[in-house]
Order: sequence, then structure tokens, then C-alpha cells
Amino acid sequence: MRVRVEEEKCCGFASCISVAETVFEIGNDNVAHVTDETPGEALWAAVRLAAESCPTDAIVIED
Amino acid sequence: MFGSVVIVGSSIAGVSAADVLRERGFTGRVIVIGSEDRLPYDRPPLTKGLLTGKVTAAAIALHNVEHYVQQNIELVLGSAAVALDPKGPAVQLADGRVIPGDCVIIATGATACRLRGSPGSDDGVFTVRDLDDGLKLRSSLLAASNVAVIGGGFIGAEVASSAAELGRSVTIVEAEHLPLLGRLGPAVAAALNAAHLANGVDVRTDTLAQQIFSVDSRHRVAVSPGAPVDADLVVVGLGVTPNTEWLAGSGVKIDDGVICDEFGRTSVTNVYAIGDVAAWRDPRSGRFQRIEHWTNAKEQARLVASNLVAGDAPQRAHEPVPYVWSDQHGHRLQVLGWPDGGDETVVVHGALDAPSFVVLYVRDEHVSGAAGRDAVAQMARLRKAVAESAPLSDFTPFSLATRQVAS
Repeated sequence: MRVRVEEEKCCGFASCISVAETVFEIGNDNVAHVTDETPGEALWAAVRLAAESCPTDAIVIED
Repeated sequence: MFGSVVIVGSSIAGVSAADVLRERGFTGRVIVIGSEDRLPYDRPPLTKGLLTGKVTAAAIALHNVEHYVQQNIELVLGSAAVALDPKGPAVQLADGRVIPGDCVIIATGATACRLRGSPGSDDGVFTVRDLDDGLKLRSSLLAASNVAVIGGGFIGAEVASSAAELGRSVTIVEAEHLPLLGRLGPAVAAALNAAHLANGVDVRTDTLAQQIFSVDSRHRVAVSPGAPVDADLVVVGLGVTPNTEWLAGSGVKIDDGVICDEFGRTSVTNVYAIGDVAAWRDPRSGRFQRIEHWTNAKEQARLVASNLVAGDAPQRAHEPVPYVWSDQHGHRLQVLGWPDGGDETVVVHGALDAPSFVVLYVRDEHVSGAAGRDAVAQMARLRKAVAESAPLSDFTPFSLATRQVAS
């Protein structure tokens, strides 16, 4: 799995850091960034949940 | 299960509903009706990136055309809905076509209020609701030097901020004692107003805009009290009214918006409403509330579409925590919950005169809302507390000096 954030879409809802805090972080620019672009399989469900819960669909998962 | 769903409205609510129907495996027809002859697009950038030139019109499309083909979502664009026949139900369009469906989802949004008797955007007096408005405003803004913004709410503040960023001279005409005072209370409103002033925006508070006189692309805004405001571009941000006129005679109950229960059901069987046009019953308070927020439109769309596909399975109700974000003067503002219902505000992060702060709104010693500037991670952690009306004591110890009783 590869994950990235389309930063111009991010509205700072930040549900991603609630469900997958080891994969996403909020930067000083107030938008989400990916800290782990290729998370281990144990995190895939959480990353998918983060993508689904993102209100602006800013999280892109490439399998 | 329905054979076809007709969605009236092609903005974020309508398109999200169509997407979720397919995502949940709905195999019948999905028809999305849009009054504008454009591929559905996203509205928040209209007052932000589109104005400053950071994003283009093409970049704010919700999806490319291939998406609708792949998902088998039929777009009927360029003709507004003018009537709803509750039997069927069926939607009649301005061009005479009648589109029947087993189920209708109303997502017709809202229209920006204009100042009575004011000229239109062709004459340099704008409201910002549609992409056409945004594009015309962008090109007018490039040619303008003085901009008057009537109404200092979220839309007005964002336009003022975008215009100031482009180096324009900006005056906000605000009826209240501070912009956003009624929405956010005195402490946060003062902090946001200070950012306007620090960025050179002139804010005329306690001032009513009365009329706009336009001669040769110059505008004079008559205000009371005080001297008139002269500008070569005027933007009116005085709120919106829900687009419900077309439902007259349909039997769909209307008040301030389409009245719905907590599942989005209107008073007419198999007719639902979502987004800015809809006033859903809030199960906690029992009140009907119209929430003009992007995230709310999307959440309601997801809920109605999911429940439609689930059929007879237990339905999920919507208990929204309103969320709004706004980009002003290079800072990101976020608001959660019900800040207008608070008795007092408590600063729990940063300071109101610093770039970054978080403020809790407190009602009966419980958290009713939160507002934060440049504090995205801190705000995210507060969502649960706001949803559950957590007691303020959860946040102790805090300095009493930071408590401010609303006046």
C-alpha cells in the first residue's frame, strides 16, 4: 500500500490523525502530511478508515 | 429497493449522494439534475484559491466526466427544476422535461441574498455562490483597486482576505459591533477583527449598508451612519436563502428550508432533502436546523444514500457536530459545534492575541463548541468533547484569568 495526501484538498478536519496517528500528522501549515508512505499491513485497515472518514477525500491510497 | 433515484442539485450534497449510492452497491438508475451547464464543482475555493489565483476553474471540478460514465451516474445539466409532482414522484425542468423516479433527493442549495435594488455582477456588484460569480469576481478583482465588502461573515471575511492578499484596498461594512459577533462571540470575533486590521482592511462596524449607486463602473455604497464607501468593486455577503420556491404546491413542508426528520425524510413519501436547502430535526434538541456547511452536506448525503440502499434495515440518524473552516489572512480558522449558544469562552491553547489559539464555548459548565486558529491538531482532539458536551472540569486546571463571560 502507498498512501499520500492531496494537501490542497485538506480542510484540517484531522480525522486521519485520530484513526491512524502513526501514518499522518498535522504540520505547521495546518494540513495533514503522510509520515509513513508505505505503512505495514497491520495499519491498512486504519489507513482505509482514515481515507473514508476524510470529508474532502484528500487521502489517496494506491494499492 | 428503488429502481431509480432522482437527485435535484449537482453540488457537493447531490453528487456525494450519487457517489454513495453506487459505493453501497445500488444498481438502479441514478440521475443528477443541475441548473448550471457545467460539470459539478466544489464551492469552497470560490472565495479562496480561485480568487487569489492559486487554483483554476478546471481544478475545482468534483470529478472528471469519466467518473460519471464509469459509475453510471446520469447528469442532466443546464436546466433548473421548476416543480415537484409528489405522485410518482417526478421532477419537472425549466425546459419542459419531466424526470420521474421512485425516489427524489432534494439538494437545491441556497441563493445568496442581494442588497435590495442593487445591480448584478455584470455591473461590478457581486455575490459569490456560483462558479460564474467566482470567475467574474476574479477578473474584476484584478482590475480593481478599491473593494467594498458588505457583511463581514465567513464569505465576506474570505473575500476581504483574498483581496487584501492581492494588494487591494478593502473596506468591510458590518452591521454588528464586530464581524461574526453573533456567530462566534465577542472574544473570538475581536481576535479575527484584529487580523483584518493588521492586514490593512478597514472595518466599518455598527454600520448598515443601505443602497448602492453605480455610475460608470464606480460604486458608492450609502451607509448609516457615516460617510459613503466608494469602490470599483462591491461584494455582498449577507447570507443565503434556501432554494425552495420550486417546491410550491408539491406538499413538501417548508419553513426555513425543507423540513426533514433526523433521517432526511420530508413530509412527502420517498422525497428526501440534504445540504443547505434542508432543515433536519436535531435529535438532541428536537429543533429543526439548517446547517450551511460543506461537511454537513456531505454527511447528510452519505446518511440518506446509505439508508436508501439499506432498505428495511435499521436506519441511522444524523447527530451532526457542525464543522466549518475558513482561511483568512494566511490563517486557518476552524469552528466546531454551537459557539453561538455559549455563556462564556475559555482559552485552552495559545492566546487570542497570538496567531494560534483554541477557545472552548461553555454552556452550563459544559463544552458546547470550540473555535481555533492555526490549531488543527488541537481542534481535532476536541471533536469528541464537543459531540458529547463534556464537562468543563475535564479541562482543568486552567487559569481563571482566561475565562471570559459573554457580554
